[in-house]
Amino acid sequence: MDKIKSLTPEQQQQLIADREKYLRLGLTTDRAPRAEVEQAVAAVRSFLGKPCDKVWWFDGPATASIAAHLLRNNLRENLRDNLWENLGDNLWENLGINLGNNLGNNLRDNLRDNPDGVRMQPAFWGGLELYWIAYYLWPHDTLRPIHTEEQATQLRHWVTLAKAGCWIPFTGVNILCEPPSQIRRQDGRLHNDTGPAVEFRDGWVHWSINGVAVDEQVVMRPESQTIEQIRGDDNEERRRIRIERYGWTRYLEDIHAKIKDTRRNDVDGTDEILLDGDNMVVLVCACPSTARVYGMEVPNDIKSCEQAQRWLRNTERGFCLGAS
Amino acid sequence: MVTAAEAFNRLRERAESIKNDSAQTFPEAASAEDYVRQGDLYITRLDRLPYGASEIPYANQLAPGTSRGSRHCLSHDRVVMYQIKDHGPLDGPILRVAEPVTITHPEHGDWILGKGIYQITYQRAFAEELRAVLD
Repeated sequence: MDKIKSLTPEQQQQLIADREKYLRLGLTTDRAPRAEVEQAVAAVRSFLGKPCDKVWWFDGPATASIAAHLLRNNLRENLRDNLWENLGDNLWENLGINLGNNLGNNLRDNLRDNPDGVRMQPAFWGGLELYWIAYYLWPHDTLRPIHTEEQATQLRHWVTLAKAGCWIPFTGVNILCEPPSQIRRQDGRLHNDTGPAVEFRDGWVHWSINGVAVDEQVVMRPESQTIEQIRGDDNEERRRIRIERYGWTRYLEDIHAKIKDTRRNDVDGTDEILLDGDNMVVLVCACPSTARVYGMEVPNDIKSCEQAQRWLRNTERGFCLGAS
Repeated sequence: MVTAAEAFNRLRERAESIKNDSAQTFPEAASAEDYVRQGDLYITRLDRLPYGASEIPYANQLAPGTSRGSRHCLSHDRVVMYQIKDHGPLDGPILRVAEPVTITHPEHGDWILGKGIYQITYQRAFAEELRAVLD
C-alpha cells in the first residue's frame, strides 16, 4: 500500500478543525467527569491484564504525587512502564508504515507539539498530553485505518483519560487528579507575566512567559534576580526573558557596561551596540521582525559590532544580504 | 558621551519603528558565500555541492530542537538535502532547491529561496566548546 504523502484541501481543513477540537479538550479547566474517566481507566487496565477499580482522586498533581510517594512502599508495582510498552511502539510503527515523512512531520507540528512540559511522577498528564493521542488517532479517523480495531479503541480510551489532570497507576490503586483550574496563554503559548500560567486546584502551579518555562522569581520578583543567576542560565531565550524582566537598562548599569562600539546595521536597518562589562562582552541587537532585543555574549577580544556578527556566524566569508 | 543605557533605549526605539516580518526573497544576483539570516539561522548561497557531501533524508525542520524558536521549516518536500562528512555542530543541511521554497518561522520573516544550492548553518554561542545557540 502506497504511503500517503499529502492531504487534500478537505483533509487539510479537517485537520485544522480537529486540531481546534483537541486543543479545546486538552485545555479544559472543567472538573473531570469522574465516572467516565474511571471507566476508561478500567478499560485500559483490563487490556493490560491488570484490572483494578480502586480510584483515589486528588485536586492536583502535587497532592497526587505526594500520596503516591508516601504510599509507594505499600502499593507495590507502578504500572507506568507497562503502559508504554504496550502502546508506544505499535502506534509509532503504524504511522511510519502509512504516512510519508513530510506529512508525518506536518501532523506533528499541528497536533503533537507541546510547548511546555512539566515533570513529576504521573505516568500520564491527562489533557496536557492529548497532543500525542490526537497525532496517532487523527490519521486513522480521517485518512485511512492504520491501527487495528483494538488499538483504535485503546486510543479512544486515552482521549477520555485526557479529561483528567493526571494518572498514576499502581497494582492496587489508581491515583487520579483533576485538570488545571486555570490555563493562561498568549499567541498560543503558555504565558502569564503577572502570575502562574497553569494552576491546579491543589495549589501546584507552572510558570511560563512566551511559552518558556521560568520560575516564580522571574515572574513575580524579577527585580530580585542576581547577575549571577542571569549569567548562569544557559538557555538563551530564558536568559533574554530574565534580562528583560530584570530590566535591560538596569542590567547594563549593574554590570557597569561600557560601549565598545555602536553601528547602524545597513542590511536590516537596526542598531547594534557592543558592550563591555563585568568581564563580559555582549553584542546587543534587535530582531528586525519582532523588535525583540537580544544580548549575545562574544569573546572578550571582539572589538566591533561587525566583528561580533562575523564571530556569531563563525566565518569571515560572504556578505550578508538580508535578515529577518 | 552617550551612556550604555541611552544607546540601548535608542536601539529599542529604532527596532520598534522599523520592525517588519514580511517575506523576503534571497537575491538572485547573490554570489557564492553570500548569505541571509533568519533569526539564529544562516542561509548561504553555494555555487556547487561541497566535496564529499552526501544525500541525507529529507527533514522539514532545518534546526534541531523542539522549541518554538527552532521551527525554521521548509514549505514543501521537493528539496534534496545533503550533509558534509565531519560536519560540526554549527553545520546544518545543504539544500538543493529545484523549485522555489520558503523557509518559514513562527516569529521571523519568511525567506523565499529560488533554484540553487544553499548551506544552512547555526549561530554560534559563547561556550568553551562550539555549540549552536540553544533556541
